[in-house]
Amino acid sequence: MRHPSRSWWRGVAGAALAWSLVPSALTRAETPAPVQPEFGDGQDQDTVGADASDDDQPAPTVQDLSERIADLERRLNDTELAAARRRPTVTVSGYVDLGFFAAQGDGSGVIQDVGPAQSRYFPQYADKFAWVFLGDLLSPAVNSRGEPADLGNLPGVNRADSIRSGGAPSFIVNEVNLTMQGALGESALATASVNYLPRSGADFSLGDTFDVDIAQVEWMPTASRRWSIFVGKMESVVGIEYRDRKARDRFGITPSLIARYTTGNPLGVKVRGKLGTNDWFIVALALTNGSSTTETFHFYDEIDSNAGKTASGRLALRAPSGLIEVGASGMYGPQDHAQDSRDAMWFVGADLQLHHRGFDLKGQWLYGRAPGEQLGQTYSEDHRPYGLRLHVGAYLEANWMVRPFLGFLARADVRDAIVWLGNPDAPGGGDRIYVTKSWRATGGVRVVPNEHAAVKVEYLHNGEYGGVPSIRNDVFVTSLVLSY
Amino acid sequence: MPSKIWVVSAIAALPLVGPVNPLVAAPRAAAAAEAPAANQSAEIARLEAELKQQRDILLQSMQVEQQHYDLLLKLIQNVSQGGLGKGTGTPGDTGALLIPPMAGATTPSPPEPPARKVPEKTATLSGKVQAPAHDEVYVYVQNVHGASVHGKTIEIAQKDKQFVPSVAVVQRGTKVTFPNFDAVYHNVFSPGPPHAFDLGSYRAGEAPRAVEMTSPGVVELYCNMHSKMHASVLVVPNSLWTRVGPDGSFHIDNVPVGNRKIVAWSPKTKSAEQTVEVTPSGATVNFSLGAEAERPHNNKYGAPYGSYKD
Repeated sequence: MRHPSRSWWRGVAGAALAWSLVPSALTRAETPAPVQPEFGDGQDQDTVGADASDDDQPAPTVQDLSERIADLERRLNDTELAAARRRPTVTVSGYVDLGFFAAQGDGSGVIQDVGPAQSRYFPQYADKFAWVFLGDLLSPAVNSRGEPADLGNLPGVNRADSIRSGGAPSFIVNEVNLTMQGALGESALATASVNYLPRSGADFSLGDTFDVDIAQVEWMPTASRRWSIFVGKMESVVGIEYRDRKARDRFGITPSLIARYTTGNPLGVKVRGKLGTNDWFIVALALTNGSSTTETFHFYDEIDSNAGKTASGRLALRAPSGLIEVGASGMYGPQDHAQDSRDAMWFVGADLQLHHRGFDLKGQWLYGRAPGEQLGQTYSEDHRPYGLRLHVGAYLEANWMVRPFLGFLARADVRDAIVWLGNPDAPGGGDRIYVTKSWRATGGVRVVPNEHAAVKVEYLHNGEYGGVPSIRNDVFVTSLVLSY
Repeated sequence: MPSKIWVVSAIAALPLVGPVNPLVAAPRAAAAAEAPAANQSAEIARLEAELKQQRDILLQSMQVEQQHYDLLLKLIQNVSQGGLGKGTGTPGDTGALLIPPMAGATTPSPPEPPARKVPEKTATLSGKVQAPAHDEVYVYVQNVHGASVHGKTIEIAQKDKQFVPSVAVVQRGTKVTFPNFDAVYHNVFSPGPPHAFDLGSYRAGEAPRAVEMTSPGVVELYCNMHSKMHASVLVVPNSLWTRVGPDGSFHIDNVPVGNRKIVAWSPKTKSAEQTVEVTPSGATVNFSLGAEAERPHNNKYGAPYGSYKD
């Protein structure tokens, strides 16, 4: 809708121009003396312009006058635009992520290791844990949130299985995101991001949920704005995958096998700074309630259950051209879910990014430990920490936009870890253990018809090694991300 | 003659003033407010078309007037040169009128030629600029009006998330196109002044969008998606500009004599200006430019980008 004052100003400008033409025309009628258009402060104005043919004219030509009209109109538009932009604004953006997936088997990424010890794949755990599972719960991911096609019907647990497909191919609304951002003055930015997750209901109740993944204020206290202080629920600082964890930002669809450790949104404070020429050195430090693991995984405390806080950080070097960036990151803090701060969970990692034209190469390596429950300690049922030995978790991903609208993805993942609940040395042993020796090869296509839409297709081949039997849990997944 | 001009001007001005006349605008606005959005859009389009039509009428009127004066001028020139049947017109001067002299008329003495824009006397301006970096320092003469250039186009590419080149100097009227060679979308904008514009988002393969730089000044260019993308376009009012040499020296020829405002500009420094008297023997002016800290800019909505918008 046109601004009411616009036509008024345009009219005034037009009238003023028409009025100004009259004396000019009168002057010209009397003597053919030149009439110079005003410019600058009018101090000793002369004209020059051997490169312009109309300079030979003794007076402003029609072309000059029409240029003046156009110039006045442009200035008017500019002024209006500048005035409009000075108004405080809250930008609302987001996306809808629609998908379709088909997973092999029952859609689950794990099987149970049962039977007499001598017939088990990992007999060493037979007497240590009540239940032993092999594989990776989150390997058959069907969307950018990392939700698996199915968590399986595992004994001893009653879990919120958000998709619960049972292996059936299904359409899905992966996520409806709404992001609001507002400037708080010249140096602060408030951001809130909410995800709505339409899921199956049960027992006459809706299964839909929502998830506030970002609620932060970023304050840039220095004049250069190269330092930022974040407060609230915010992005992790570990590794690099958090940067494109969202469906709108991710080149492909599914996260890596180690995204569960690094792409969560902890609550706390964070400082991020860029130093040197062309920001060649990047530092980020955070102090948060819990770790940077994803909220639905075994390790996460949004509201802390202990007094200790988790410190995390990343140091990175970036080539001036932005062609390459290498970083090292880590995280150290009390175990999530534990009500004391005695035992620490920690991770260390390294990452690499190469960017050249339409080609990106990203890689990350991660190693971590969490001791889990300790002998002699008592834990309430709601606050039992999981143990973790992440021997190696890594991925290497190549994204190549061969055409502005067409790109390809290839990724290789590996994750070698054990995760357990309970103490295996306690009388009666621990509750359960997950033994993962998984690799994954992912191929994908990305089609971008316009700036508001991206169509993505991926095939995930999940494989096992190191004594874990092969599990049929490959996944074919598509995604249509509509941004607004 | 004056009365004719008044009439033409008044007729031309009426349509421009008309749309803002409260007596006319109020009923239109009221009707538009009641009408559905589609009707409002149609009404706006109609008004815009009307405005354009009226502008065309104004221009046509002025064109007719201009042609009239041109003919009169040529007539006077021909008569003064005794141009009866002598074909004094230049090859391109097909519109010249040749009027036969009256019997017994004496040939008038040639009149003074009409005043010309370009002063007869020009000189060379020279000097030195002390700046932290001489590779991108420019000096130009500000208070000399030059005609807007027509049909000149330069290109500032968006490549590898950078503007290439990141500094350009153009004369008023130059069109600048912004092709995107990256697979990702870019959104070129300038907060102004002198030019506030927003070219919207497009990527490689899409038609590049362009802006005509009609007003002198420094146009800062940014991308709304990538905070590190920045370029500066200096729009100069005339052709009297030069790039300072590696040793800091410069000279500009054909500067009209008189008091001239000289400006030294660099994207990495504060600009400086001096007024000097250019005499027929020339003039010298020296500048010392101080470094200017890089100032962060906001996105096109006027909000900071945030730490991760590299």
